[in-house]
Amino acid sequence: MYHNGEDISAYLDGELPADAARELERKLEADIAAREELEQLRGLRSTLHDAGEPDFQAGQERVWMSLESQLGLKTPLWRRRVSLPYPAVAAAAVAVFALAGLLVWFVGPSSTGLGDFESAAATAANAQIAVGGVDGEELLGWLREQDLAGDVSMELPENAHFRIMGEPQLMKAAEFRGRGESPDG
Amino acid sequence: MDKRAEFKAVYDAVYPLIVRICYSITGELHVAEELCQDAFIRYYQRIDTIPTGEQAKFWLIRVSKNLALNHEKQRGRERNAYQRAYRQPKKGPESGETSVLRAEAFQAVQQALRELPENLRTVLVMREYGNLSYREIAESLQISESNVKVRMHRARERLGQVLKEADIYVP
Repeated sequence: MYHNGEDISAYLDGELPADAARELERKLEADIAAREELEQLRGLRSTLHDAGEPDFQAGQERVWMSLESQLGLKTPLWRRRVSLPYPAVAAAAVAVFALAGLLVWFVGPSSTGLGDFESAAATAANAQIAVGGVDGEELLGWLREQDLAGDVSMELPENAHFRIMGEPQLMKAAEFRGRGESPDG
Repeated sequence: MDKRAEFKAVYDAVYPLIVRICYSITGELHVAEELCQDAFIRYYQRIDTIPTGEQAKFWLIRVSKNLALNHEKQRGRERNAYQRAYRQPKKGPESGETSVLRAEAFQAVQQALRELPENLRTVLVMREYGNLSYREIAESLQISESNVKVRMHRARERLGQVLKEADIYVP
């Protein structure tokens, strides 16, 4: 009985269309030579695979490292992922807190006054800071020097006692009202 | 996906296939690795113009195959020149007494594969070791699927004969 070796080879590869595969299977049932050929091809395939092959996987990593180096693909140190075990991270955190505690203990509380304000201003672009016991002129002078604030709102204490500066002047009520008005208005 | 990530994805997917193709042609692992490296450098230099996915794979298969064939041609010329210069006959592969049976079978199969003509060997390697479909092989080699089918059958026929002559067991 006639059979096509190419079809048997394609059948082995699962590349024969479904109807052609069914037809070939019918032939295989009746044709001993065709069955033997299929078995030979299966044997050949197993020989190819059973003979083994070199360790290609080790080379894959080696070649990649070489490519990284040649093409400048290495990830910068600061972008590399670092995996640390949780116990090590916890131990490091405890150590940092302990050191910080010791530092506070030895140095003591930070100075009052503008020192607090300076550290807060350095870290916040828009901050509400309560400052007690600071001379107002000193604060304004410091802000001017640092060129830190475009708008400064100051909330004065309700029961403030203001010191009178300079000599008192007598003026007419109309003149006093005119002080706060614009020249146009 | 950035360029490096895209390149790495293609590398991871395609390297195992093309190193086998290069190895099947050259028969030397370190040469196959070097040729793969060259192919990937060329790919990276053209990564913006080569479509990704399957087309990148087909492009790399073609380039690595051509690099391996060129390498073999060059080596053949060098070998012939050496033999002419020193008038030494070509030696066959030596069989080490310490080689285990499996290693011998491996060497014999690799030798048998190398005895196939390149156009038959490549389709067989792509199918058996690269697990490529006939369509993928056809696209990679820029031939028709029916041509792949014919070559595959001829490759198996020839390989079967070579293995029988070398007394390698094929059931």
